[in-house]
Amino acid sequence: MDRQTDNILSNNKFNMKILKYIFSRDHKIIAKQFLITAMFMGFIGLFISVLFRLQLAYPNRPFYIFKLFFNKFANDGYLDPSFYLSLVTIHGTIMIFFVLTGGLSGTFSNLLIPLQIGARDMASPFLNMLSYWLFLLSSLTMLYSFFVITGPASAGWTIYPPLSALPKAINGSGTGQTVWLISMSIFIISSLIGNINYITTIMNMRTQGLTMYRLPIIIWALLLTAILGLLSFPVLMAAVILLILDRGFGTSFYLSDIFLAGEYLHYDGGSPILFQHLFWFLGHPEVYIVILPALGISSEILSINCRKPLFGYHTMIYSLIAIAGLSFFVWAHHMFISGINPLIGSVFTITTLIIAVPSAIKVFNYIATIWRGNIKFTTPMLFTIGLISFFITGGLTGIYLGNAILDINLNDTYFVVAHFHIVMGSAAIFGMFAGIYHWYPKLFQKMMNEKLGHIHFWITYISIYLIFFPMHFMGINGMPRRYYDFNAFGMFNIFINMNKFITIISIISGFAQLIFLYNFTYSMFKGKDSSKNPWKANTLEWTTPIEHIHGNWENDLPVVYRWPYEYSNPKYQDDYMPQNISDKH
Amino acid sequence: MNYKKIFNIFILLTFFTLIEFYISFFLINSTLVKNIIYIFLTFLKSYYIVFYFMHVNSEKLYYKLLFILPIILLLFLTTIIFIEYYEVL
Amino acid sequence: MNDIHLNKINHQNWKLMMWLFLISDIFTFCGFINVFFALRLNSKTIWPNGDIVFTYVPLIGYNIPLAFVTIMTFILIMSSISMYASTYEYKKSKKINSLIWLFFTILIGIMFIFCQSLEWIHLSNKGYWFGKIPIGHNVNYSNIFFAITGFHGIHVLIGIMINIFIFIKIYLEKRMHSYNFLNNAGLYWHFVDLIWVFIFTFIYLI
Repeated sequence: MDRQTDNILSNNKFNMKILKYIFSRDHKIIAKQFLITAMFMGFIGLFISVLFRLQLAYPNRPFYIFKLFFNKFANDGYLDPSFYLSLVTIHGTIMIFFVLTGGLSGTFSNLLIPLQIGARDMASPFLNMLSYWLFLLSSLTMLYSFFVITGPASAGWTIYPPLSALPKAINGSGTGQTVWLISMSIFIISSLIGNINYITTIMNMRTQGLTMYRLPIIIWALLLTAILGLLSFPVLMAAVILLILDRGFGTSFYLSDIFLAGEYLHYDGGSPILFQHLFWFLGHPEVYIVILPALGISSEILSINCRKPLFGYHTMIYSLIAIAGLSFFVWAHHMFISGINPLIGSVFTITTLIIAVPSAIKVFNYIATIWRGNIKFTTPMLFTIGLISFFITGGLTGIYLGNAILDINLNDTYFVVAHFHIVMGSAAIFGMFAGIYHWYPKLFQKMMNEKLGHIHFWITYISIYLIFFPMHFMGINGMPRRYYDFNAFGMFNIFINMNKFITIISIISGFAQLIFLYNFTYSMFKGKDSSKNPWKANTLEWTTPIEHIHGNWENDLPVVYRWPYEYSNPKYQDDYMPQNISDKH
Repeated sequence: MNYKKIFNIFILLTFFTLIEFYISFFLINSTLVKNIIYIFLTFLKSYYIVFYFMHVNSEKLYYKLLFILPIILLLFLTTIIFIEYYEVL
Repeated sequence: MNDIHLNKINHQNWKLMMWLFLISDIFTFCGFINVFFALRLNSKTIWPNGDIVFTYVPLIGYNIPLAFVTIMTFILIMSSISMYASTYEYKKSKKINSLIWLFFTILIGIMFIFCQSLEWIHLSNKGYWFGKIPIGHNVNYSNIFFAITGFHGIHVLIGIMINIFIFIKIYLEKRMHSYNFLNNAGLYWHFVDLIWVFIFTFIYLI
């Protein structure tokens, strides 16, 4: 036995069961840790969003719940306006970075990559464990910012200077912003270590017979996600370091000609737009990091639940590569009204419209996969169909926003909020839900309750459309983002009732997530035991024994003979043919 | 890879550095030509360092192609920054 | 077990991981260099000329433009050579030779940090620091100078610590199985030199 397998198979230095769980280097346990942390952060982000929705619907009413949770930031139950900005900032940061980046790509990369490529563990199990613990440290640091005297960061999740660069500009730009920056630095390091691990494992440790063109689409998606993360997070690191220097060392990278409270500050020669360029150089690939794993998960689930090969396998791979590659060339479409050179505006309009093409190709392929399939409406399938629906809706509004001219009216309004919530906050989250429901038997050896899953799906799906669809109309009518009170402006009076409606639906939808939480926790202990291959799938992760073992397979590693989408082939007896069973049987 | 070859490359790199040092004395008036020579020599030096010291030369083809994508991305970012900030005064 | 290929892959794994980390670090430095371009093109006041700012050479005096930084570049390239020689000797299983070359690398690295600190101290005496510059010039010149060279200096320090660590490891080991580690440490050290070549051009020369 060589040293690597030896280390993995006898990873029992600590005999206590609980220590074996906490400091484990086994990728499956690390996947569970990522999942639980991301779900915890997700519920906090959800709770924050329901609270500030309350503020938006009833701006002039005191609420006891504000006083209960945000004591000094909600005097007599009226939410502080600057604290509203903090809530919006932290909601955005938690949801995008911790839930959708850490939770989606962290969980599913760790779980699926070694299992689906036939490896015993990741390329470096120690770095994998380090990546999780840094992720947890970063999450706790972000939550700590709520307990700082001046409050958490409040410059938006995009932390534009000068608001974020001057500690005295707003309450949250003091210690809260510093804590935010520290938390994000740790998160970037964790993400970097994880991405290095994933790319190396996929490129180097595939089992015998598994060429690149026999990989499941989810692995391609996770590979491209890791490459995107590797190349784009460092630029955010540079921007954050320069912001820290601006805040604490008196430099003026992003500041020039600033007056604060009537006093002229001696900063000269900087440029706030420079930060925006650097930030969005990460920011745009970041949203593709969020959506690519979800698209990969949906490819798998569609194929399995329609009992049909994925339509256009090679085209899917090339579209994924095109989306990943083009995502680096579109960042300034977030900056159309920031005062950039109009020539750049046209360049980025063109590239943004080009990137819509591979995404559309993928959606057409999904629909062609479902067409005339033998569809089984399991919970993961429902969530995947929901994802496709959201992706089409959100994608179409994205094309509106991608034009620099239209963006003049629509930027920084609720139209943008609706767009990214539908395409990130709904499509990607539905991808995450679908993945959890689908791979729950692999993670916890039990099946989740189908009925509760269906109820969870229908309530969430309908309420997301009810919440975010009206926001498009609010946006077209000019309603701006990040305002804490719309009743002060007469022109938005027509939307008072709509705001209330959206808030009520969001409270109902928030409670529906508790159904999911109940289902998740209950099934872990009392759910139906799952068989080895409950969904009758082809990929390698369903060939491991039901109970987890380090090293994933007991004896030899599986050998792969075909691509993973061999469903309903008349040549074979069953309607599926696993990758590791040779044709000679 | 033997000592003689590495020593030759070392002499080459030192030579380029000394060229840059002396160019800062001459050609004081034409900044554009000076800058172009500097940038060209820098890329040449970095080619030698990456391909010989970091022995990418002896790796497979896809390793070498791997560098092209980041360079294209960074050139695009630099071009946009230049277009954004260059003001014809 | 039919995973005999696992042994051969180990070296490839660590090398690929090191390269991926280096590529990500290149992007960080390129972020900084792009900030340099933006601030320089954006400046409305005079951008100082490197030939005039960097004229000091310790122990010799003033008025030799860019001499000190050329010496520093030469030093760093020399340390790259000695690192390469160390790896080469280790591959030929000559432990003592390899350790001698590694010792030179560490020494030269410390000399580089020493030179860089002398430069910083001299500049700060002349009035350049984070947010400060002699009157009339664009303050971002010294900002970006200290930010980039400081960031690079931290990388050199980490490289020296890694080299010391592997020096001790090779010194104490009984069988010679640290080739992978030494190779990757060499890659990191060459990367530090590579970044310095770019910094030399963009910050000092242009």
